Amino acid sequence: MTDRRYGVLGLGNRLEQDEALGALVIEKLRTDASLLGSLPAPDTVELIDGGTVGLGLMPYLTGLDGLLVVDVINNNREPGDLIDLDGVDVIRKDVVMSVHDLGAGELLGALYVMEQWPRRVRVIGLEPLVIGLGLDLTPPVAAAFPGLIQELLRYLATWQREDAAAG
Amino acid sequence: MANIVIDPVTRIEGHLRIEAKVDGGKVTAAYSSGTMFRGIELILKGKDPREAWIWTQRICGVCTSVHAHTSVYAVEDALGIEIPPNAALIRDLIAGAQYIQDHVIHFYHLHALDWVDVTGALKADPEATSKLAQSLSPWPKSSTEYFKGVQARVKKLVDSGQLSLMASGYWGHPAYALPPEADLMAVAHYLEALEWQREVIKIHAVLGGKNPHLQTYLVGGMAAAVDPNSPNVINWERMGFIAERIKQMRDFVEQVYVPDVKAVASFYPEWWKIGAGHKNYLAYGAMQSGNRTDESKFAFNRGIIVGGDLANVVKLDQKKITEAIAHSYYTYEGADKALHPWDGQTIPKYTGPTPPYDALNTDAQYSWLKSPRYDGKPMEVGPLARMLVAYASGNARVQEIVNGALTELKLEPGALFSTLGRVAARALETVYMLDKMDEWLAALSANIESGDLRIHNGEKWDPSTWPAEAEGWGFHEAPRGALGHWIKIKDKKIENYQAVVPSTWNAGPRDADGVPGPYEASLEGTPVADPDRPLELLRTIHSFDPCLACAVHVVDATGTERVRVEVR
Repeated sequence: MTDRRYGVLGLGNRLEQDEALGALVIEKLRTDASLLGSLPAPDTVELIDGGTVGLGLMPYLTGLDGLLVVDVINNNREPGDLIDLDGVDVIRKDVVMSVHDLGAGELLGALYVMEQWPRRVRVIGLEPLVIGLGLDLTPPVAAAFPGLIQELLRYLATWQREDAAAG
Repeated sequence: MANIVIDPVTRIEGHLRIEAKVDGGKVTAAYSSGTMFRGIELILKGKDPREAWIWTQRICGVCTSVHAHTSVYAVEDALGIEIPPNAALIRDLIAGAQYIQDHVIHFYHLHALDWVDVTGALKADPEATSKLAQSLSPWPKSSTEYFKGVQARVKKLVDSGQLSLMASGYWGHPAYALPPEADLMAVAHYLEALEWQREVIKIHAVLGGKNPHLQTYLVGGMAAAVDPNSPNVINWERMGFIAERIKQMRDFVEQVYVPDVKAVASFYPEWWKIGAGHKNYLAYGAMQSGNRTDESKFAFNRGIIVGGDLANVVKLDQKKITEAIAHSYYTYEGADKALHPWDGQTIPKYTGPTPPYDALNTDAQYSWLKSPRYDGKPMEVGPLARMLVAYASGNARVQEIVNGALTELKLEPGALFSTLGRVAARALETVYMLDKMDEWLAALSANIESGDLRIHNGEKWDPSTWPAEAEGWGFHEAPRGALGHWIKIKDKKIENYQAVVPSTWNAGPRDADGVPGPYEASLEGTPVADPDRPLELLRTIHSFDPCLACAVHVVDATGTERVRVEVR
């Protein structure tokens, strides 16, 4: 049990309003100890402020029992809507969409082709309203922020309980 | 006439749109547009200059450390701060590791698929591939069994539909010329490079802290303690770790990367004649070991080459750098006048079409990039510019490396003015950088051995020691090319800050006189076999290693096309 490892990877640029979502989630989880503290095993969770680093993040992601990738996600929904995708689907779709962008999809893709896929991967985020110069989240995204944090904690708690039960 | 649009073209995060007009199977005119506003300058105004690097580090996701590096040098230049040698060496070691990792990733993961057909790899004979690999290099992973395994792995990925980052829209394109065995070898090395880069970049964790964004920069030096015998600082054990990683870098670069570049190039001889552009090259020079003024100490030479004249390296004067906005979405009073970055203004004024749009209005403003010019001329920056300036300046080691490669490939120096010239220059400067890494690490060890543990100069940390007004220039050679930060400080705060990044030099639009930027010029005349699949344009653009406004990461779940090719 003690050697289980889980990761929360926040992606995004802090200078671009809603784009900062992933980075702000990491900051929130770092500064408010009661959040991770509510989990069965807080010490097994690594918080990774990925910024926009791409392939350079690979060393942080291999060998995880569960990975939550947090980012803004364009899905033609209402701004602030929660979007929750299976990591495998993100790679599969990315094949169609992005020929060669080295973004989150490619980072996951690299883990996949290297056969180092974490046991579980969810890509979770909110539909953005504005991605443009600025330091604050827009109101609908800011309003949905606490719900997103709760959703992340729910995943981590569930995984930890499952793994604890499996021994 | 076909109008080909590639939007976006960057494989790394960023937003670049290329429009190329094709007539008679060739590009007659090309337009490069940065489609996203990048306004770091506005955010920095009024902030503490000592914190600027933390913000600039977020300008670009793939080159975070280079902006931190350049920013601290800009502030130190403004305030007249000399940094201790150890700090300069650590900055150079971080920058060098970044180069080597970036260049290898660029070749295998961002550019190789312009030359290598993954479907070819499936048809290759593993035994013949093994023979080919062993004829090129002593690299141990070259057995028939090994290549059989790689082929099976690729087949599994193709069958599962999850080829991921090896997916390419151009499989089976007629412009691919490699035999299947070379395709398989390159794909094997593509996979190995992913593993390799993950190991070697651990140098950054040792020198810069564990966070992916390095934490140890500091105006006046570095915030990393150096002590040979203490735990948890830069000590002998960690220096040994770095030495091992440098060795690991060298093995892969010399035995895999460089031989692969030469092998791939040998099947595309016409690409030594395509893609030159203006043949104007600019290098600030860099890796100055802390020395801002003595150019003889720079690892990379400083200078300018105009019109491919390697006999005359023009001395660089940063005051001759300007940025024009004639075709850019910006405004200021006297907008027809190009400004030096110290006086530069960042006032956005979008006048382009409402997205989504079919075509840019290239007679008017069409890019979020400004048009940097040196003495009024467009300049290419990057590995090719650095290698040519160093070569023409008489840098003996660079001449040795470049001449060796030219002899082997049976080429004249003029062949370097080309798309393949950029690819080759990137590989050759990686070899040069490896020597420098060894030198810097040895110098750091010698300092520490002699008892010099200084890492920070705090004399001017306190703003009360600063003059009322100051201006500075921080320069660097980022992996993608010349990078400059210009800062004006007034009353202890940032009064103005302008960053002129490599991709702005290369991808900027036409200036007021209608002279195209380097991308635009280099695409003119490029043959295009199939306008529906303009692989040839990608080859030249990717040879520059583009990365623009490099910072938006939106996971797109809608299935929106990210590479759009239209023929009208």
